[in-house]
Amino acid sequence: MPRATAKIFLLLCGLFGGWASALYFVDDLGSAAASPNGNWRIWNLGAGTSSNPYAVAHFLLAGQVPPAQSLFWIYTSGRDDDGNRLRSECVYMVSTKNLPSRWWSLSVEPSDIPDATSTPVISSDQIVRGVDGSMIIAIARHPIPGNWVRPAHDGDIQLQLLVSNDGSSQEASSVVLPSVQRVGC
Amino acid sequence: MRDFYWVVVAVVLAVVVHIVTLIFAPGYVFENNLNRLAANIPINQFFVLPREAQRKIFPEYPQDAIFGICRFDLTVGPVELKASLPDTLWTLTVYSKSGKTLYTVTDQQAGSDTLNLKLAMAPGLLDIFSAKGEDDDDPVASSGWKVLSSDERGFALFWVPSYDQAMRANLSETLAKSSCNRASS
Repeated sequence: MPRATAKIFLLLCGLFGGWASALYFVDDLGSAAASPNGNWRIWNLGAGTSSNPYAVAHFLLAGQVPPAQSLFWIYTSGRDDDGNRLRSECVYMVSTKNLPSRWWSLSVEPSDIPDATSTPVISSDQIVRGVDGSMIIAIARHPIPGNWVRPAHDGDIQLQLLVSNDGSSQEASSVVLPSVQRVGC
Repeated sequence: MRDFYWVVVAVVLAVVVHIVTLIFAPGYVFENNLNRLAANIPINQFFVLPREAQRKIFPEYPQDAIFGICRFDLTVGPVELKASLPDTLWTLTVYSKSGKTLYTVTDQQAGSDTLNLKLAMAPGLLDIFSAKGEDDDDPVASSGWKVLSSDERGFALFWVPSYDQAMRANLSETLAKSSCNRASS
């Protein structure tokens, strides 16, 4: 009898382990570091790549449509430039000079489960640029002059940058991604 | 030795469940979600996606962006998509029902504010051997683009960015002139 129980236990371990590992690896294997020294990760949705099933699953399991890799590049970051987790109660300055794209958007969402009902977004159509073309976006719970995005949730947050791939020969890895500086908490 | 056999069985089971979860679960979850959010959108008919559904399926895009959708079903024959597009940035992506990208085109690639696209089932093995060059007599295929899908159901999705409600209304009006019908045989 104990032997039969052990067999059933092993089979259940196999079933649960396979299922849990698939869900766990969706995030880890679906994305890769966008640059050697930054915290942005890029989701590789290119057809035929080993990361593709995991990256596609990441979006589909959240009920979202995975953007076509030939049209958009998707980057996410849950940490600031110093490597600290992004928290909704802190103030961050997201700055960049040139995003070589016809269109982009930056959204702030909870780091665990994306909440589709209230994800604040700012896009290249709405942003106010500096005279030198620089862009600074404040992420804070309270209003800040200039470009401001208010996180809609408490706790850990993550940034998602959606960059339109305008058909240029530029590689996704060569995009200079915004820096994320914590100003205060 | 017998115990080792069951450990191997459990590992193989884990690998199989891992792969099956990655292949089938995301598509199943996504299709269910799409059916729930777009339940009121008829098959083979073009619609500008209602804001509520748009916000849930595309949270990373600003709310003023416009999504036109044609949910197609090719079981009863090819579908003809005639798009009326604004003179601005837009993208078209054709997805299978499980979220796989089948085809993409942008305003720059199309070079026109109208687009004719025929969606048809990809030929099976028997059809390939008995192919008759049917496109020669097909007015849509000869005057526009043709997408062959191995999946009988899916959706074509237009995206047009806009930055305020007034612009959204104008662009929606243009996009709403598009049509998606069963192709006349």
